[in-house]
Amino acid sequence: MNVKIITLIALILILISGCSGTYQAYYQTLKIAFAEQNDAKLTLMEVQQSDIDVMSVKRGKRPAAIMALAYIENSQHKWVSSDNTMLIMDKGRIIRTIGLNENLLYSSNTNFDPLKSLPSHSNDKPKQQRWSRIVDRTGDEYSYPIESIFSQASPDTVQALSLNIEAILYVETLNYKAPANYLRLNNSWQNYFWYAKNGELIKSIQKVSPLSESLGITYLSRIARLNQ
Amino acid sequence: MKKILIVAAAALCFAGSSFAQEKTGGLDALGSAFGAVATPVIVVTAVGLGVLAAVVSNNRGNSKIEPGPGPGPGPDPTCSGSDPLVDGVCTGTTTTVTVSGTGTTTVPVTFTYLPTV
Repeated sequence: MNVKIITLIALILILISGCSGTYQAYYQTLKIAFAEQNDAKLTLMEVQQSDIDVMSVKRGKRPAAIMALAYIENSQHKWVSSDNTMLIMDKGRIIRTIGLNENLLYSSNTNFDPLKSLPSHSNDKPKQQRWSRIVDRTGDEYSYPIESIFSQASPDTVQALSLNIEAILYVETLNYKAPANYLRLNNSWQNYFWYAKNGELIKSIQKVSPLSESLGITYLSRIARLNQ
Repeated sequence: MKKILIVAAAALCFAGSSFAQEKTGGLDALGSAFGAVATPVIVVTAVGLGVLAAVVSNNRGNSKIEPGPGPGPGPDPTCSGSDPLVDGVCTGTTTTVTVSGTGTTTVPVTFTYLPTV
């Protein structure tokens, strides 16, 4: 028998075995796992033409999503995503979440949140501001006292919609002031808030607890308006 | 009093200006949103380990083996001499001689027995 025919038969056998259900299952699983997931993006023109305010949200390691402003009620901004989650924000602070696997249920003392008076000044001197509140979270985590310290105000640049925007960065250091119900090695974390020169919040990175996933929020519509 | 009202109105206008440009969509906002925020994250390492474990498990697995047939038929049963084997029983014939006052009578008698295996 010719060597070519033997090689051809062996190749066919290998390829046919690759089509078996088991190998297909392995292949499909790995294909999904390694598939590149792209961020949801909008151009400056698309944002400017949008009838509804939009923002880009990157939660943890997921690709970025676009959320839209559904309501402003009692000065609280309520943003919705296409998979039916909602972020409720007060002056840029996430005070409640709905539809995530772990949710922030309640934040107290929001009237005294230093974010409501930021940006206080654009000078370079850091301004110490403390704020205490109590939060409730899903997973039977209720009445956790948290103390914040705003310790830095520094110039920075925010890149979004192919623009470079001069901004003022405020860093908030947060501390849990009570032992957790569960093992928790880290009781401290930081949130970041970028304000444009006109005083509008244009970007933030926040976590509702040390172990929760970060929420990176870029306010696309506000940035687009800055460029008008 | 008039001045106070004017100042208050101006203050209200200023306070509302921060939201004045922002456009809400109500329920229609869902149509402007895209991408997912709540989907579970696929951990590539965990998937790789899972597939590896599946490959190893499948290679080590055993198929259920059905029990084979029982022992085969043994040797043929045999009867003594030329006795016939009928329905698993050997039938033999013997002759009984009976002597009486008038004479001698020979009577054939059949008997059965199990064949030897």
